[in-house]
Amino acid sequence: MQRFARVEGILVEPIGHLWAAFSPATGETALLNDESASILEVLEIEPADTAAVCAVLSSDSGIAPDELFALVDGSWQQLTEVGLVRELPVSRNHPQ
Amino acid sequence: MSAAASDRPRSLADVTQGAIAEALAVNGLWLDLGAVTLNVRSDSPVLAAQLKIVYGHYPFIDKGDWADAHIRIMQARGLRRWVRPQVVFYCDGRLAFDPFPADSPLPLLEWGANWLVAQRLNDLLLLHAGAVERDGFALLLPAMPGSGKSTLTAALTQRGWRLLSDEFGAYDPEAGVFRAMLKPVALKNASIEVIRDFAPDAVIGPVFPKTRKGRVAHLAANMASVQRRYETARPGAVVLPQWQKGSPTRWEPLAEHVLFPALSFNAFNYNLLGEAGFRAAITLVRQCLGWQLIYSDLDDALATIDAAWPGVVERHAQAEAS
Amino acid sequence: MNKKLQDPTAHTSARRRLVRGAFAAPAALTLYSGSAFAATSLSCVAKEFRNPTYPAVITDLSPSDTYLRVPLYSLAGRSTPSTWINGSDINLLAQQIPGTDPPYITNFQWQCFSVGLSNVKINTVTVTPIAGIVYAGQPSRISNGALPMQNGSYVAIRINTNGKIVGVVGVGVPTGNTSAVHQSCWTSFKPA
Repeated sequence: MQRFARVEGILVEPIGHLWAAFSPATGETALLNDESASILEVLEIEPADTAAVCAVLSSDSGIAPDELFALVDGSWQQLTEVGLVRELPVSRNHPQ
Repeated sequence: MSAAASDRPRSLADVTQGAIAEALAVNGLWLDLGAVTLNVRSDSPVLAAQLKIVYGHYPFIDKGDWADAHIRIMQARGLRRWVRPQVVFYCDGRLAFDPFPADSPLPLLEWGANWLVAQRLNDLLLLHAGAVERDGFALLLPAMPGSGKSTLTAALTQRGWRLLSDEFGAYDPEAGVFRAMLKPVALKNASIEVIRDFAPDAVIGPVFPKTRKGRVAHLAANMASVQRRYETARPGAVVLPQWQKGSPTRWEPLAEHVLFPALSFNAFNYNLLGEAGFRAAITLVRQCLGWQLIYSDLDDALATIDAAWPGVVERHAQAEAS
Repeated sequence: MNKKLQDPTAHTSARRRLVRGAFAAPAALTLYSGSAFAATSLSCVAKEFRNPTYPAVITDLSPSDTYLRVPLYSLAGRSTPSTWINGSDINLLAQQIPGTDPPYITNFQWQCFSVGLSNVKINTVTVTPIAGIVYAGQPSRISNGALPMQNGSYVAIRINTNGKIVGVVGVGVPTGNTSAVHQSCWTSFKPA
């Protein structure tokens, strides 16, 4: 499965009940909700695929990983476009 | 002449119009705005009189060491010197804008100078906002369209608030303070009469009737604002004004997630500053209290701000003490 | 509001803020490239110098056809409705302007403009709307499935220096009837 990593050097700051994020890669600033910011926090530990992220967030939210899967998987494009995450090349050690 | 008066440098109000015209024609007139200095040269026969009114309290400097921008406002050549005469704006020797009517060099200078400052002063985060100061803290009025920002800024300066700028909230991220970018307040259309009625003693320059923004006139910065233009101000509060005809005054707190885009969205050079701009905006969100002010009555709007201000100062004092 | 002035070094965890039993669609709203609006104003000002004739000044404070705007939709709740922006309205606008990059929101997404007092359903998920967040589908009332209706208000859209629609003016301000822009400078889609 495809793995994603947090872009190096991004800044994420809480502002009220949202988060402001800056990407040095794109120069873009974005507002995030807790869910997006949580995904970035999981990736801060290490790069991960959707299933691995869901496993971590499942313990945080109390929601089963398979219920989270579509939501998390659907967020990668947006987070990539903003410059907050990047897709890792597939390697032999991590089967798709 | 008293000792204090003799020590004070001569201002444009103190010298003759001819002296100002000569300075403009020869080496230029240095306009020290606080965070930026402009050198202005011109052969316009009317600019000296206009500057004498709206920059009256500024020191008369006809020999300066430094200018951040060199501006020339010159009469157009050829046929346009005589037929529907025009003036043109040069900066650092290059033509910056297309011509403007010859009787209106002042608005050309003011808008052109704003353009240059917004392009060049990138060691500061330049919020598109009115900025005033009281008790050492800055009050910012971000400039959303239709907000009445200039009218409110002008009115505040006539009621005890020190003008920093009506166009630029100039935040120094290194020092963590706002700096004055002190220029006359540009009043448009009905706000000219509003401020005349509000402050009959206020010094307002000539009305230019046919600009694309309508009628424009310039409220001169008062002496105290000019004399204190090097004094910085700590981030205090942000008020998003919104003038709405007939509306009762409404004063609503702004959450951080609304304040942040309001500040970054309204910064001329937020994008250019990159990470520094982001960090500066976050710092301002952390440090500034924020409100939205919806109003139709100017006196009531000012009273609302005045009533809230001691609380702003107190909150900052508590934060510093803890 | 008595906001505590926060220690800038304090660390808050998003994961700790997740509500047990709830997980909204992760959302990232790209903020309008901050300089572009102010720069648009300056571009418009600069353009004023280039035209020595003087067109009529817009003084009417009511919305008019010269604004670049999209309609606002209300989703009635128990009392205060939430208001929404339809991604397809924005995309329709973008399609009319040649050479425009795709906007920040797709045809199928909806953005919450202001929150009401009720949760909504988006696709099959119950959501507590957050102003400014782009959601992955059309909201509907939980009780009866009612869909959002145009409420006669408009919001102004934001564009960046590349002409891309990247947001709306006034996102997050819970007033519902703000942000009609009054100046002709806003009609320029690709600022100089």
